[in-house]
Amino acid sequence: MPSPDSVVVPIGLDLGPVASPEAKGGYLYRVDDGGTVHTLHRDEYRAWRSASGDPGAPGAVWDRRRTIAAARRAGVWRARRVVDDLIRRKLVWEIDIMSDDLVLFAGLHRVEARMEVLGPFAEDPEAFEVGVPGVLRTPTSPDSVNIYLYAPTFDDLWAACVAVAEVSPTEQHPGWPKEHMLAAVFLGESTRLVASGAAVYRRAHPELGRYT
Amino acid sequence: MRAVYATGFPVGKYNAPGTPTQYRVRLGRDVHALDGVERFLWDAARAVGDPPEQFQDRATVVARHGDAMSRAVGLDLRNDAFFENADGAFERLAGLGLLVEVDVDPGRSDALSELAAAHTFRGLQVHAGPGPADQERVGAPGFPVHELSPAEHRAWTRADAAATLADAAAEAGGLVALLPQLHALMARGLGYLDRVVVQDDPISYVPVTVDVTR
Repeated sequence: MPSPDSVVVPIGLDLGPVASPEAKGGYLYRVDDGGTVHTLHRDEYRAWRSASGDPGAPGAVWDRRRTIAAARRAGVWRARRVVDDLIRRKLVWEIDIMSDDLVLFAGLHRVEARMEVLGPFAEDPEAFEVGVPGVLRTPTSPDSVNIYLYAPTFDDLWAACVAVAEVSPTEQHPGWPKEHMLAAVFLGESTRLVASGAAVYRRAHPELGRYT
Repeated sequence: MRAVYATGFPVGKYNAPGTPTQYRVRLGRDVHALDGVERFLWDAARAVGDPPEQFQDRATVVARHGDAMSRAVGLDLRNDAFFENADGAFERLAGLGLLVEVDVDPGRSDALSELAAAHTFRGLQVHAGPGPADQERVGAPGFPVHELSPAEHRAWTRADAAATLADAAAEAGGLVALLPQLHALMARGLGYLDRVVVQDDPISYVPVTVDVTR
């Protein structure tokens, strides 16, 4: 039973379709997870995209139930099975952000910032957003913006969270390491960033070999 | 010829009460604050002409900067004082590493190799579906912004996957061939050059806080 604090994120950068006459729909789809370029069939690709969340409603934290429902809406046959298979293959991760799953996930993945940081704005000096000017804007908290902008320079998300925690003025909650708190907040908010295309998770340390 | 490139990731426009607007740019693990003139100049170096130049030198960048600032304020600012000020801004940005000038003439490959080893290309925006003919759309899911040819799309994905510009150049026919392609992508907001960092380097502060008086 997934924890109510679980979030779902897809792993990899979408490289687009390649024509394949024998494939269903005439195309296969490539996803670069940071170590391997995977070739997905149409239903797998649609389910993987469904794990990104809904770009039309990027406010909700994305979980397995929403992923499966979105995959069904996208026409994926046996959506639950396809999503579970992607989770098993680590092309989609389900993370309980209140547990050590978070540390494991953050240590195994890096974050790519794919859009600019926007704001704060004269009319609201506490508002920060990430997006493409004039096209799309995703509200993001200050701590998450700090992680977002430094993350590309770190080997993995956990290292970025530790470094930001050392200098961030954010107060520490008793009994919860600051870097853990920052990572949990970022991961929760990152589902909106992933939905809008502003962030991509990829495997860190591919030299360590495939997931086991 | 000495070609000019802008480096760094845009980190927003800061409007603190009673202070001039700042534009912040991250390069490696350093975040720099630019004033309006510096930001316009930095943007001018990111842009390309129409049609795009293979390489653009300092005079081209400064002239474009003069055109852009004149358009922005509705006055022709291109006088001696303006260009003197622009030269000063250019030197400040070059001192921070946010503008790099590199010799691209044949036989002067040392400087180019240095640039390639010290920088990496990071892609911006994501795949947004197939475009017309054999093009690929890039932007945000549901919001395609640009259409890339297969060659542009290849450069966008392959250079982004390489650890350094040198690695990217090795599989793209050399840096002199790759740089104009990457510059065209950067001008469309599809990537930036970042400084390769030593993993142990700390970060000195977090630039984004809700305290706008700092």
